[in-house]
Amino acid sequence: MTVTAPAHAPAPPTAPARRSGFRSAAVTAALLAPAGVTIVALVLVPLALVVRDSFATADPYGGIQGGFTLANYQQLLDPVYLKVFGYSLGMAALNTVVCLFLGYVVSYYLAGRPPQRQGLLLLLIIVPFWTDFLVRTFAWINLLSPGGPVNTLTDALGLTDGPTRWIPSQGASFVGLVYAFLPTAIFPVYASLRGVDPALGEAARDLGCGWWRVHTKVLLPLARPGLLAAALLTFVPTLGVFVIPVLLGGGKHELVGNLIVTLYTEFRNQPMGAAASVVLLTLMIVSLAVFGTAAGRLRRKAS
Amino acid sequence: MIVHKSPAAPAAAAPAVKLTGVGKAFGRTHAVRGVTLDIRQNEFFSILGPSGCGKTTLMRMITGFEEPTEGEIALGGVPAVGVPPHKRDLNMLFQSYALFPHLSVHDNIAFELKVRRSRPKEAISEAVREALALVRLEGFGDRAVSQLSGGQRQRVAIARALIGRPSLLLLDEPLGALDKKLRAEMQLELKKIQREVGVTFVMVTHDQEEALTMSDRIAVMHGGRVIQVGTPEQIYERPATRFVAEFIGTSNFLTGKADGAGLRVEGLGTVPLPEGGFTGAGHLAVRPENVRICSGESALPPGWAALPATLQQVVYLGSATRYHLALVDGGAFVAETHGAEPAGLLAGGQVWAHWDPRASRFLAE
Repeated sequence: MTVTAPAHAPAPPTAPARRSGFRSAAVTAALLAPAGVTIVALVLVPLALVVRDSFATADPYGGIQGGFTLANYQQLLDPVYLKVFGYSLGMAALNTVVCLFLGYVVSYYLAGRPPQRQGLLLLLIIVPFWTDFLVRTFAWINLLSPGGPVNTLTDALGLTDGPTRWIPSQGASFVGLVYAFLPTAIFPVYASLRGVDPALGEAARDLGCGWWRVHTKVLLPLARPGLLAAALLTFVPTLGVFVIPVLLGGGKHELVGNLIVTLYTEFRNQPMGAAASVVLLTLMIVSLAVFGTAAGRLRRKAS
Repeated sequence: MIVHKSPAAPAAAAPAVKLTGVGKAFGRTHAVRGVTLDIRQNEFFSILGPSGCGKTTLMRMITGFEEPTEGEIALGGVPAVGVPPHKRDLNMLFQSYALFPHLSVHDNIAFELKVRRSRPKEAISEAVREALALVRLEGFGDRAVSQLSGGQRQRVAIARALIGRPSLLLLDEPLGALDKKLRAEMQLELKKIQREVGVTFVMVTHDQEEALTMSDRIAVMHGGRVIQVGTPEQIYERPATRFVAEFIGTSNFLTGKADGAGLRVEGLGTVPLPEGGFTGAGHLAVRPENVRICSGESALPPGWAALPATLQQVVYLGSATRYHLALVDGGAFVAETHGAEPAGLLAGGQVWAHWDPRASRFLAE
């Protein structure tokens, strides 16, 4: 907001300027306050508490006793826990790769449809998004149950013989992950590909590219910003997922998210749970930084 | 299979493009029907027609982006139906230029050579330098495509399309996106480049002036069919149908019934035809620049066609003067002169529009 001095009463130039500067700063602060208070109270304070807890010692009942120790982090170095972190990173990476591949294929198909049809198809992809995440995961329990729709289909195709138990398994858990994150991967890639002039693909064919090289030489490089965004939106959240491995994976192959829940609830070791949370948060921040750097390099190259 | 042109082979005598009864239907819509056409080696050929006439579909069938639903296409004597675009020995200049935004000017131009792996690396750089010189863009190799003006992009697109020395270059409305002055410049430039590289050019355009200026021969398309094929002079001076006469330049039309005496036009009497032997209903087309006007009947040259008219408007065009006339039956008639304005002609006055019958053309219905 700016305050202009009335034209009929010219004041010394510095005084109103300073006053308006002070007032606009006050207004800015007032406008920012609600958001600032919310962020501090609901994000930074809890985060600080978690970080603080991760260095605290636990009482025999799992409560926070205070003090300062690195023992919680040292315990996380136990191969049992390291395996969970490694497995989570692996699952997140695999899920990202599969989602990017499927996301690219679907986006390429979408972008090639007539414009009116694209809206409808996009809607079909979004609709499941409006359903609760938990409900959608439960739906997969029905779909994959012995004698369920998928089982009936594989029976008909001769791939299985009679009722087959798929849940719980790592495979079912992975299917759930891909299903959960595929739309998130499709949208950014679709946004990139939709902006590509169809003539570019034709120009590539005209200049000697078969269908494979039309993709590798022209369309994939042009979709790279979208692919990068999709990778970020898939990889980081997958690290924190905990519902899917419990419901579809039977909780046998845990992700970090499950580990944190277990440490807090079953083990009743709050400081260790806090330490695991801090490590997960660090992993996410590191991946964000890596993707951010890659995106920055891409932009510089483009300009 | 890449069809390479070799002058020694008997295929060199074959037309660059041979279309035989080519048609394309999209569902129940026929975009192109029964097109039979020979495009000769090294000629600048234009496919001219209004939008929706099927010219773009015809071109896309030559490039291989569309397959014909009927007929045969041969490129340099080799059947091309079923051969994918990347295996045809031709390139296309896209209307939007279709330069790859993620590549530099150099990499755009080098694209085809790199993809086809037909030459070693050093040779590619040399070829790109030559291509840039051809389109007068020396030193632009390191630029990004986004840093170029419209005219420069077009030049890069030309260099990219010609670097592999295709037998055939298809140009899709190549000058449509340029402003008027640049367009005139590029018309001459394209013609010059075509002579320099000796490649058959096939240009698709709706701009009749462009087609007349640049082409060795023109095919006029209308409603999915080729109506007339000929040199610019033939197309302009001897249009085959009323559509061609109307679409190329402007024409005055008199509609009536021809017999031995001439064309009987209701309300205007009988008008002499360019030659005898015509019978039946038809149109007489007269170009405005062939029509003279005078105020007195005594000044009419003997043997010329003449119609009384009212002078409605005189439009001074700089290089010419245009006279808008109303015939006695109310029909509009236009005359255009390049010399000095005949004296004593005022809007509202009675004049005689007259022309040498040999400069008119009878088009049977």
